Amino acid sequence: MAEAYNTNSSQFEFSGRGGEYFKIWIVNILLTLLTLGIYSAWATVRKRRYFYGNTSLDGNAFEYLATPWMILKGRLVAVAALIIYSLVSHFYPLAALALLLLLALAAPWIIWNSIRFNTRMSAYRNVRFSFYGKIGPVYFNILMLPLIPLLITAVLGFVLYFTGLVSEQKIALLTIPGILAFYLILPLVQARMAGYFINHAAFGQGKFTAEIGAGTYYTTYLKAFLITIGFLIAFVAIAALASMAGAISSMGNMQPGQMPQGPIVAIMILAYVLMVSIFIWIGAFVAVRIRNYLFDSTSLDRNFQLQSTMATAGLFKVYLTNTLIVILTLGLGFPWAAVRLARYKAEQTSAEVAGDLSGYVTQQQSYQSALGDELGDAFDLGMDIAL
Amino acid sequence: MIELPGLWYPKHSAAQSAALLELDSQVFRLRVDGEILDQGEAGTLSFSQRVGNIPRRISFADGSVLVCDDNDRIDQWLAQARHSDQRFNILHRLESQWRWIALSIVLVLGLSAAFVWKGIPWLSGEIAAALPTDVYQSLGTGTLAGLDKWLLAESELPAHRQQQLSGRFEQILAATEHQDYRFKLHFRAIKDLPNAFALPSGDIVVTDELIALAERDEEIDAVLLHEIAHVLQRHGLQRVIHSSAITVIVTLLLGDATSLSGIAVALPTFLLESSYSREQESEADEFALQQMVQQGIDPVHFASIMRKFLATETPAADGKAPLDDDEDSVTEVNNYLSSHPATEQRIQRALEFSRQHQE
Repeated sequence: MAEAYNTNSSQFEFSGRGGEYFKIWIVNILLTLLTLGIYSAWATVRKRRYFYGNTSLDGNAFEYLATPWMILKGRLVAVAALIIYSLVSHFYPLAALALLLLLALAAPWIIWNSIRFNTRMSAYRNVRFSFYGKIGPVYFNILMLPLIPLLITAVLGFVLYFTGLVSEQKIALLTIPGILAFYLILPLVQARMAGYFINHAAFGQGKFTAEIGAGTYYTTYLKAFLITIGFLIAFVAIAALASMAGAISSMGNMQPGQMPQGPIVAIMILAYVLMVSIFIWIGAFVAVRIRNYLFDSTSLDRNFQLQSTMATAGLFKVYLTNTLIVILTLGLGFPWAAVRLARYKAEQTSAEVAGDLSGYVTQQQSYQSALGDELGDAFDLGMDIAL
Repeated sequence: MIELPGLWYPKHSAAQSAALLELDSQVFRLRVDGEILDQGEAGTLSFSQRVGNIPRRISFADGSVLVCDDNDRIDQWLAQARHSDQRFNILHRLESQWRWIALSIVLVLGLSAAFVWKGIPWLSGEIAAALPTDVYQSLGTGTLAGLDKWLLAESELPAHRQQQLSGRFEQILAATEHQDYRFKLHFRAIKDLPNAFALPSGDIVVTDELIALAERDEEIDAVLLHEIAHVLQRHGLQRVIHSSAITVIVTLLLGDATSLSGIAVALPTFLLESSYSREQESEADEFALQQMVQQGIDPVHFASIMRKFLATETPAADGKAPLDDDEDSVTEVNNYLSSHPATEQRIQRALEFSRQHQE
């Protein structure tokens, strides 16, 4: 068909407004406080529905379909677990270690459940998204993969210990490359998890596909790491210069080690602001690179290609002004900040469609699980964590 | 009768058609391209709750859906027809009228402030007081053993000196009316760290370095009384409750603020926790000073051991580094950052008690 070669670009749009969301947000908080937290499940649903419902593509809004009861169940379990853990960890640190182990074993299941839940509760044009990934890869990627370098070092350590070739102190030094390798493997874990998620997500019968490699993750984190180190060195150098200058100027009439207090407070504040800005910038840098990479790699049935055009400077500006808004309004400006971020994200996201978006979407129907959605929901814990 | 234009979808399908839903108080009629596709009792329709101005889902009995963004007309009809889905609209009404919003702002700010300054301390105090003493005695039995393994070294204090100090400890303890607590004094060493701390079980640990720092035994008494106060006032458990409560509240209020920046969340959490901690230290100081006056020990010794902590630039009792300096303008700022009250203030308070003692 000739028309299949025409590509049309559709822009995501966000139509929420800060003032409108503020009213929803403040009532959410009030009712959450008055009900001692129980309303938070309703609050979450209203918040999500507001943000989904105001995000649209090709004139059609997204929908969030979870009910508060599903989310409440998950929250109650989480709160109970948190209380038990914080009490136990304070008074029986050893037993808390056992609990942590238990949590580590449960974590992949919780993450898997959360991915499935959130995907299935999202819909576009009356058709649900779905997630059909099995739980095995989550256990492998999250529990096994990061442990491999640690296991190798442990085995190596044992072998060296029993052969008696190397002294105990030198064996202990092995922990350093072991831990280093653990951190080095984390970007790979992230890349694999992202690939796992995208390649097992579906919209109706349409399947999302993406070839996700770890390369972008490694170069991104390496650059972020180098920039951080660079800034820290510059920072220490400036601090050293400043304190030298301070020592010289105070030599005359002050006790040793004392500096004029006005400047010292000003410098401290300035340094803090600078540090925070740098961290926000690096956060934006990493978020932008990874988001753009993931979105640009993702397509739906090779028919529909996502595109993200975020830029570090743009996201940094949003992050920085948002932080200022929240701090200067003592938190009351949070809804405006959230809306600004959502709008920026939507503005930088589009979809290239081969042929006609509506024509393609029209063919989709909600994927029916064998159990049926209702039964599935009954067993759902509504676990809800952000990845 | 009202007419709602929208997009109609068959069950589970994304195929959309422009449609018109005609509603009067009893019946509905759904038209697509002018033809009636469905009709029936209006009571069988279900309407999604209104949130802001996002499109509403109107679901039909056969599973098909009409999406319509004419929120005001829908709400009007729901009210007129007394449809059962109208009851949820109270939330939207709260969210859309500025007088309710103004009230909400006042209530949220007031409740948060009251809860943070009064509620959390009260709640944690009540919970901590409600637990029987037995529970505390059994709490953290493994903690000291763990600390011995990782942090503490054996004391090198001669046995007769240990006995002498334990004797003094029993004496000041007896005077505090400690009910059924089983206190025990342990001698340990931490290199270069004059310190003392208490576990909720009543185990109090004092380091050789602290004993060496003190010039008189009364100074050790002052520190030990401070630690006894932490146990009796059950500060350990209270602190756990504080920090969990703060974490929950800040998360509830700012939700996924992590997407903004961790700073917005971490800062208030940190400030609040240090504020509670400072209150506990002041409480323990007050207790210690009152006991000293009652037991006839001059509180000036409390001041003098504090001075020595200051001079060695090590943390005061409890092992948390106080950020306080004796530079006045900086102290003002640090008061909000520090886990302990400014040492100079604690010294002044002790000297006040000392004057009282001498009278």
